[in-house]
Amino acid sequence: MIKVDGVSKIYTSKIHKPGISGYVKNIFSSEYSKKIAVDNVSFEIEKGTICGYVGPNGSGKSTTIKMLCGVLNPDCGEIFFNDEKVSINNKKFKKEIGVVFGHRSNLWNDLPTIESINLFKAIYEINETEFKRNFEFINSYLEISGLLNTSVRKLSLGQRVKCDIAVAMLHFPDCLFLDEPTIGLDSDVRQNVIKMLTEYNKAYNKTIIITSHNFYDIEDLCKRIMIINKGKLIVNDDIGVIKSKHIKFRILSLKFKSKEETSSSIRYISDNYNDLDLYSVNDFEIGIKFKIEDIKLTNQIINQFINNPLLESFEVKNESLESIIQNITKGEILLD
Amino acid sequence: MIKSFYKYIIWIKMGFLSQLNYRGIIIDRLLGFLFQFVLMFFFWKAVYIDVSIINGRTFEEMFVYMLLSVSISALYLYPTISFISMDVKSGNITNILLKPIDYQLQFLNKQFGIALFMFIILAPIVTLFLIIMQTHFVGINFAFFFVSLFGGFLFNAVFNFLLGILCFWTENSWGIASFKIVLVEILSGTLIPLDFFPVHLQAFAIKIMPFSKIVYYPILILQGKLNIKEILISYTNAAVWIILIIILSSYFYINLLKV
Repeated sequence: MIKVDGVSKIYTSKIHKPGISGYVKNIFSSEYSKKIAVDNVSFEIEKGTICGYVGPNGSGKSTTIKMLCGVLNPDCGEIFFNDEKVSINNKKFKKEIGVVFGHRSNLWNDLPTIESINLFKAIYEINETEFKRNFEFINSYLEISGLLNTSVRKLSLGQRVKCDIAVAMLHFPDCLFLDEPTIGLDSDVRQNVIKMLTEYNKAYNKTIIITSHNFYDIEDLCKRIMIINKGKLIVNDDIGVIKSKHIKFRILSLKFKSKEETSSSIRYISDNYNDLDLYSVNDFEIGIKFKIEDIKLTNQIINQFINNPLLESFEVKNESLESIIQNITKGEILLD
Repeated sequence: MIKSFYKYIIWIKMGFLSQLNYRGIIIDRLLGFLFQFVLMFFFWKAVYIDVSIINGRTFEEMFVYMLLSVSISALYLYPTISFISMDVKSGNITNILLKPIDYQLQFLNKQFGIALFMFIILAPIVTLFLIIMQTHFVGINFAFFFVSLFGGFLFNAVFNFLLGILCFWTENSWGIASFKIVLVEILSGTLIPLDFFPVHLQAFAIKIMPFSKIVYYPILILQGKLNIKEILISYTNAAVWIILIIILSSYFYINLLKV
């Protein structure tokens, strides 16, 4: 179990004055600015939970992850992992976690991938039986066996990320921290990663904490999400609860058989329904954004087009999780 | 226990493979060795043109000294300080710190692998030259030489670690790395034997400073110019410096982790 209690982190950075005179002044005197990266954050994560940690760029996600795995020390507050204080000097703790920084590789760039795998096998003291079981599990989803003899620097970004995930999981850690783990993955591989992580969580009761800007990752994987904005934890709830509580819009998409019909439909809707948020998806498809409470209006529009022979299909979708989270972080949704 | 030991030993293999992996590195390092060797050869040939003995050394003895000094210094030419600095600046040090291993031990083993690679490449070349020169060494001196060589390696490695860690605060490794190269080249006896220094500098450079234990002392031991007491004193001096540097680098490393 992870317990984070009132954790804050402040970064101090040198202010660089512009211009040549500014650079000269910087040599003799330095001014520093302080930025609160994480501000009094507290939460608990039970063992076996998959938790998404989301927020806009610079909101403090990666800083929190680095503090959770002990790389950064909080300026105040404490973090506990299985009732023990998290510390970079605690080797037992480091053996119980696995970390993937999608933008930073853990592999030995110049050597074939197998050397990095052997290195991790030795570092984490994995015996042959465990290694065989773990590698087979990982390989059944990520299919990395064909990459083992290729130099890491010759791998594509996606292949490299797959191998990075593989080495981080090789010792089957109790808790897996994933910071942007699906960077560069195509949709098939991304799906396999999600399937693997879901199975890893379910079959072995492992905890997974993931940050990602890809909201499909979060939606497909997590039951619970925490939203951080400007260093403050603003939402910590079940993903279903967040969706039902904060959803504001519904999208109706209408797909037509001809470009002309699409254009005339846009004109018709614009002329008759001034207040509607209407946009063109492509030459054959339009989208209309309704407030969640406007069920009547949604039905009215559908009824007007449903008998149109040039209408190919229509679909009503709820607002995406990405949009809900954006509304929350932009302050467009007032939180309790 | 064996596994705990192996998790550090594997870094020797990784350091070794990182050198062996590229033909370019092998050629580059061999050419570097040969150029320095040829340069030193012509330099000392010019110095000995009118004299047969300088500071008690014949040209043949100086040739052996030069061959060994260039070879030993070639073991340590790898720019490890810059690599620590690059890891610190790029943030890649995060990945290293997250592994359940001691960073300093890992670093030492990796450097040992890199030095071992160069040793294996150079050993046959040096042996060949020594056979051609008909140089004879006393058997026991070989044992003392290798202990001394290992001490020099350890000092160099822990010193590199200390300077690499210091780069975290200086934000640039270039100055520190250049300073270290010049310091070691001069004070280790790579460029000229330390007994060529002015007398008042000799005591400082040879007996007090640790750099003489990297090149100068191992060669003197192999050439049979030191008695057992002097050898043991040199070992003790190296050990004290290694411990001091480890304490100092641990202090800075702990401070680095607090950031």
